[in-house]
Amino acid sequence: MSDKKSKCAFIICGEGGHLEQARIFLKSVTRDLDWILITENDTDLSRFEKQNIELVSPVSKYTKNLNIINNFNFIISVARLIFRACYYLYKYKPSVIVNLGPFIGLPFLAIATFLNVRTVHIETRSRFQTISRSGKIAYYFSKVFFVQNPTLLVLNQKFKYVGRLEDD
Amino acid sequence: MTNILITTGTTHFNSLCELGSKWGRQIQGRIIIQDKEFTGNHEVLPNVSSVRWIKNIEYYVNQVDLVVTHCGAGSVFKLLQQDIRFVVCPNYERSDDHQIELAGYLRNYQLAPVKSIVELNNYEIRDLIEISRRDRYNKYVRPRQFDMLEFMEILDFASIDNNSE
Repeated sequence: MSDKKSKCAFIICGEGGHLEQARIFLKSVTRDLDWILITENDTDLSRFEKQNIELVSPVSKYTKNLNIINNFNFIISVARLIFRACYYLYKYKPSVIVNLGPFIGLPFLAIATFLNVRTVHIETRSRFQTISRSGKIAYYFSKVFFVQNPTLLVLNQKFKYVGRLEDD
Repeated sequence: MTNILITTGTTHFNSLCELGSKWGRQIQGRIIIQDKEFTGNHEVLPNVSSVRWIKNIEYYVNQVDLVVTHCGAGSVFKLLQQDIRFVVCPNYERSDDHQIELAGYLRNYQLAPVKSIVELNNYEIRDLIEISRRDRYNKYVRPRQFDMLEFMEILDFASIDNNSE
């Protein structure tokens, strides 16, 4: 399914600070790829009017407070997310997938691993000493793993640092 | 008139929101609580209002006397970059611990006062405003900006490595 000539790229993120990082990332992307933002459908997207956006059911909110109801909702949401991931990967055939976390991008990365797509995880900028839970899983599905704080470089040789996503 | 903004980003942080109501009884000014999913029990006071989102939060943080924020990266880095005086309260009500590391970073580099919800509960709001004004904190030095060209170069190398395997 992989299309080497595909000009499409995904940037996938959850809400809050992750979405803010996506906004900063998209401000500086090069024009040789058409970026599509994939995020959760219950978040404030007023700053993304000009971007191509695809929405998925929220997952992040169920992982923040673990209880029986949230665990059940989480399983349902993950099933829907996997279906959506397959659909969007088939529809757009991206050549690059960038995951900014938290959980939402993992199904995309996992499926894309089998499709010869360049998969990237950018660890959140709030991590200085340890990797996040989603980062630990994304590590196995990403060809390149970026950290936003150089203090994390000592943890793994695979980690790359090219700066922190911050507004100009 | 003293005005206060409490922001909790996109996460439940009921104890901080409830603290807003408590502070509302201590001051004449307004308290605005931004909380996407506030479900706690708080007393309805005329000078305390709750909103899900604040679109121009960069503008509002300049209009208030004190900003009290959770320790989310989006909120904290925005305030640091704007050079706003603020008090940080890490959210331990979450199941993950990512706010702890950012709180440690703020503490280690003395960038902002970090107070737990228990500590905040022990403060009168006037004392907290005084602390945020009186104590000296370091100016935020921006780290290296994310280099998109280097990012794309590394991606291209990854692609070449992958094709040659």
